[in-house]
Amino acid sequence: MLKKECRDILIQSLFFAIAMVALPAVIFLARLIPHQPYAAIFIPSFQSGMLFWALFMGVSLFSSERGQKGMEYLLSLPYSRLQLLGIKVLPRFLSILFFYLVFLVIYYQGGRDFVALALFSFTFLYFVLFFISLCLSPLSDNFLVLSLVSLFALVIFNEVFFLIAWLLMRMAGITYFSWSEISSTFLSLQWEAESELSFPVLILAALFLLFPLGLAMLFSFKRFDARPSRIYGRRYFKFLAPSLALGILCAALTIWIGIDRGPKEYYLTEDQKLIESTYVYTKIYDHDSVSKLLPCFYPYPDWDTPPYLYLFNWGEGLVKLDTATSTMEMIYRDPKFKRRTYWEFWSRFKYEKTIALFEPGRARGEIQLVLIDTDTKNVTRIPFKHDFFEDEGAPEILDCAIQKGKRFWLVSFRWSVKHPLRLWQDGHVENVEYRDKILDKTFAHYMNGTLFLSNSEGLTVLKEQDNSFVTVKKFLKEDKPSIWMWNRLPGNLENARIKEFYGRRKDRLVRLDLETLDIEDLGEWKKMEDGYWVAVRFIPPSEFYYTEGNEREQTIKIFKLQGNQKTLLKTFENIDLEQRKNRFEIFKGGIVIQRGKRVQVYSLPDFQEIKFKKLG
Amino acid sequence: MNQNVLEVRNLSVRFGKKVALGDINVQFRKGESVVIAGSNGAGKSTLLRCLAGVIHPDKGQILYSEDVPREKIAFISDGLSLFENMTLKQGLDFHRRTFHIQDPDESFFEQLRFSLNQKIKSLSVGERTLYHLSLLLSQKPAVLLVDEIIHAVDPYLREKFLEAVIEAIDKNGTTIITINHTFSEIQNIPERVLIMEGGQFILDEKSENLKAKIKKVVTEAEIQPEIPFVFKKESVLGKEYFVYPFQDDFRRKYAHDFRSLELGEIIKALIGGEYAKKRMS
Repeated sequence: MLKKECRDILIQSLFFAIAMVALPAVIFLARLIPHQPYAAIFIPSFQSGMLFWALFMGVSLFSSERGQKGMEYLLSLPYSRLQLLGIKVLPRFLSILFFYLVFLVIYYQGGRDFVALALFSFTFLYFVLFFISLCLSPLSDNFLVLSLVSLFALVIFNEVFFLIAWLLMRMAGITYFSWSEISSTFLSLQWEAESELSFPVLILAALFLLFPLGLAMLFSFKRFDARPSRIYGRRYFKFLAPSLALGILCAALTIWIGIDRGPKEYYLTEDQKLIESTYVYTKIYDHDSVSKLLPCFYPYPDWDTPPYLYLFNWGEGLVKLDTATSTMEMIYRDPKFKRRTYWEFWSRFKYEKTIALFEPGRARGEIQLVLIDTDTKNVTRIPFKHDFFEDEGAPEILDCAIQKGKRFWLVSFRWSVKHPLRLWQDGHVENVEYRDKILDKTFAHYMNGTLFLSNSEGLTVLKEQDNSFVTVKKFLKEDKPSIWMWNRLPGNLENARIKEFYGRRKDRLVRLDLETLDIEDLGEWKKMEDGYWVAVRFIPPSEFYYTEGNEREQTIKIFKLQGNQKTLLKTFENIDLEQRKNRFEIFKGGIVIQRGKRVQVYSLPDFQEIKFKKLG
Repeated sequence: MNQNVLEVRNLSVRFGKKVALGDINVQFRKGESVVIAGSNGAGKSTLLRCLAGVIHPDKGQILYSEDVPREKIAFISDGLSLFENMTLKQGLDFHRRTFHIQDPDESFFEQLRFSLNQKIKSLSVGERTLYHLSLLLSQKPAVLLVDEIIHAVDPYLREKFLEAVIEAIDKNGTTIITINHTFSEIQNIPERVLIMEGGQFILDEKSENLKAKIKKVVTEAEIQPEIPFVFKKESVLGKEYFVYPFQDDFRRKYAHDFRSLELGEIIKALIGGEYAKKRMS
């Protein structure tokens, strides 16, 4: 019997393989889809064909016997029902596996550029579809009905699965995913393995949901017979109902246990309140008290102006958190429909009591500057029109100031060769062109009226003269100090000017004098093999710290950088740098050290330990 | 020969709400030839399918004796179920492999002189019946379950088939359980008759006993009310009463009016009686 089944499946597989090669070949040769290589036609067709094949292999479990009126003969053969099932399923599974392996070979031999479905989602759908259709195949004698029921069951399975995941994540306090977002990110493999629900957890939960279909089949198939299929169907659903309930429970439990509520992350405010944040909640620790807030926030606020923190909740709006009263309010809401806010961190800016950001305009080439008064919550929108907005979208606000009684905002475009613009409060847009041509896409930093453009060529320093930017210095490739680690600066036109900046050039720690643009060497920049958490921290308006971790000694040294001096302030010991849960963060209010679950906070610059009574 | 080869205990089968078999009990002995008769929908085919393992009973047990493995149970359904897309040769090989037939008895198959390369679906109903029977006989079955099929076979081959069946009983001690409505050819074969109605056995008798117990009384007048009869019909000869059980004192009362019956007539009368009861109710 096994031999017969294998032979039948082999013949069918052969026909399928020929069809899969020939059909795209015909399309290719007849140029039905012009200007496409054969692979671009073959691979998507092969993927679709394989999904059909998975469905066919499942639902055709008994179709051959039914078609030949051989069911009674089959059932009178000297095999137990489970043996019969095994004999039927094995060659089908091997065929399914074989084509999947063929697909994998094609995929890894360059086919990945042409796939219609991402590898993970395809694998998931392929095997789930085969399994579902296989489990449902004894339920009807009608091939078409079975196919439709199997596809419907796949959709239901998918929706139920992601609904459970979504509901439980919401119950756990993770509210920033929509149901469809979970399903689409999971199926398109954009779900990160380190995310709130890891792949193994999701796969295990999916198996728990699929398991009842198989279990019900195993139990009911023991008594499968020649009676009308509705009698088998009744028995199948009698087994399916409780096992599905159990499966849903197990899947839910798996997801619940598997939900990563996130690591505890800390932010120390300027007025020395400790914000603890997970994916689920936010806690504010004062010296003697703690208050809990739902939902969670990304712990690092955009602006910290005691007692308020301003945080952007992606896709929701701008939240003002009062750390004195532990209350929060949304002071700006994303308009969402059609005109969603540009949420990129570089396209928002705070000066005085105003937060500026951008929304798309109402016409092509138009953009709206949104000015939010953080005290009154008044929102003012100023539309600006320029060709650059049509091509580049939202610009980055470099700075703003008042000239002749009128306010302007200086903006540039990230990863673009386009020059900056000055947006005047009356809606006028002024070009601030580069005197020398910029050759490569670049992004800008703006300090003390000096523009730093970084790209593959090096670092170009420009100053404004006669309403255009003139190149004053160029650091070519090897001389380029890396500025990728520079913190975002507040608007400097109106703030205290800084004289210097620190960074890395090759393996050296360097100081950049912002007036002379000279570079001074301050010593070795440890390589990753020797040092961890080697970084320069800028604490506005003018303080710089340099940290250097040593993995072997389990120490972190903290230096103060001033002028061309690097002064050791303190060495923290017993910090296992290999442990990912261990953290060392410098904030304006002080230093936060996480050693596993233990959290210690020190003030700067005196390194006095700050105690929070309620912090576990 | 008194050894039970098969015992059915409290067997129940339902088709949805309809009871096909209702808690029936029966035993079959080794080498016994049994005919099961009954009206349409009485449960005969369902019983046979249960015995063949094609239908799983909802309740009850079917116990084959230890010396009867599944490979020795042969079943041919009235639907002539086979893998039609196979050639005769493929079907034969498949059947032999699946039933682990080491030393096939091909004597009957050889008499049929089929071309082995033709597909099973190209055979006529009669040919397919004989082909299927030849497959089953080649496995030297301990139990042969034959649903109502031999009417499709021509008289010559039917005789051949019956000879083969009788030979199987003689040579292998095969128990033959068959469903049949046309008894003209087989009435000398069954040793035992089972009549079913509404999923129950209403009669289980040895053929000889049955012939002795049922007599037909033909009279112009009504028979006495104390005389039991299973069926009554009117003919040109007068009123025909099928008296069961026929007792010796009836012989004295109706000395010239009673007649002995062939098995076919007896079964027909019993089934007819059941139809008459249904009509009355």
